[in-house]
Amino acid sequence: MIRQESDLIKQLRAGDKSALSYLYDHYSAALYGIIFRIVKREEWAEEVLQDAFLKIWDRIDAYDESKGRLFTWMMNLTRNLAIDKTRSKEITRAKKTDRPHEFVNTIDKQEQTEMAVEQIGLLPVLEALPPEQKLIVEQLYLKGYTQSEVADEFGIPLGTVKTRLRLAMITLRTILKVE
Amino acid sequence: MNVEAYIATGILEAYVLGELTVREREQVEQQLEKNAALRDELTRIEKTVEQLAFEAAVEPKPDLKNKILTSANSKLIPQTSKAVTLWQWLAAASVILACGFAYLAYNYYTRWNSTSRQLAELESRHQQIAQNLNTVNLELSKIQHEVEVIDNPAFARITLAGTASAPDAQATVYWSSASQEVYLRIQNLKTLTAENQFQLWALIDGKPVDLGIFDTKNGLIKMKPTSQADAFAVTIEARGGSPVPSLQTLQVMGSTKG
Repeated sequence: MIRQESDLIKQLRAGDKSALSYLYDHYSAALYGIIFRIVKREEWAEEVLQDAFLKIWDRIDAYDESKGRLFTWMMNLTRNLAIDKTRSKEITRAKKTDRPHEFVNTIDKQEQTEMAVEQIGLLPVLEALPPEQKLIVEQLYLKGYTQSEVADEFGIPLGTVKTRLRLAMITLRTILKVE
Repeated sequence: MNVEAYIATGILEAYVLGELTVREREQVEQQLEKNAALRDELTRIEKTVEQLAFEAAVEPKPDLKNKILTSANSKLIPQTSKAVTLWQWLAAASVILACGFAYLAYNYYTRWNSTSRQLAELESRHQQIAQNLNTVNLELSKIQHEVEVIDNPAFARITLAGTASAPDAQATVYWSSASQEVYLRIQNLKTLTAENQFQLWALIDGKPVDLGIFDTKNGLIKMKPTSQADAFAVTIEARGGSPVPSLQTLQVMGSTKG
């Protein structure tokens, strides 16, 4: 059953758990992909996904349809949670408690995870973009960096980051067949 | 405003990414309200980003869904949708159950209360009966003792007959010269005022000896002991008794000799 987005929102606001179930079935993988690329660890990614859905469920009343699509709202909420997670004390603590004899193992594991993320990161659709645009899209949409972070990190003026993104979006619109 | 130039700055992309300041956001939102072409462009950007996210999707582990759905709290808001979910049925059922249990609890509480009240009543009645029984027992042992005294051949039974000042008066003294015990039993003595009491005397060799004071009552009254007595007599004295008998108030008298 395909639901209208407006009906889905109404049902979520009415506290209909079947709507939450539907929401999960349709959007969990897309949101999880965003989270996983940012936090890079399965256990944390799962925690963030759970937090994200609970927050969406609890705060659906705060979503304003007139200001954008439901997915945009969910995506930003989720990405912020993921970024918070990477900055959280939990991660700092996890890094501190690594003992030297466990260190090699940890590095191996981390590298494996990073590799997995890199492989997940490869998106065929992005191959159609010029390398400088592909970089921007990857950094912004897949890794969760802000435009100014990307500008600083790669020494590109902020205005250039914005126009490259704009151009990339126009190309992607055609590839992804957005009407 | 040149819409195309505005769009070309990439501000809508930044808006979708949530990267604008509050003020910039408000400005974009104002423009969006005014301009349908801008709204269409925004929707296209959003759909592209959404599509990209689907391209980059990663399936989470299957067991995560249940975990998330069960930890999502049921919202307690008025039911507007006609679709009643299983959760709502469960919530309704649990409310009904809770009401049922509350009623049962109240019911048992009141029953328990009335039972404990009844128990308290029974306990106090039981106590009263035990007290009565005790009184009866005391009375009985007193009577048994009296019967023993009356039946005992060691006790002489001396009838004190009424005198000229009280011709109808009568009392009996039970006296054992061996044990020196003296008991008095009133058959008929006048009712006294609160200021007066009866006093029993033993006449020994013509002299009156005090054997104690008493009030009108049933049964045997234990008096002071004496080993000797020629006669017994009862006078009326001021409450507390008198060292010498007032002969004009002599009520009854009886001799121990025949």
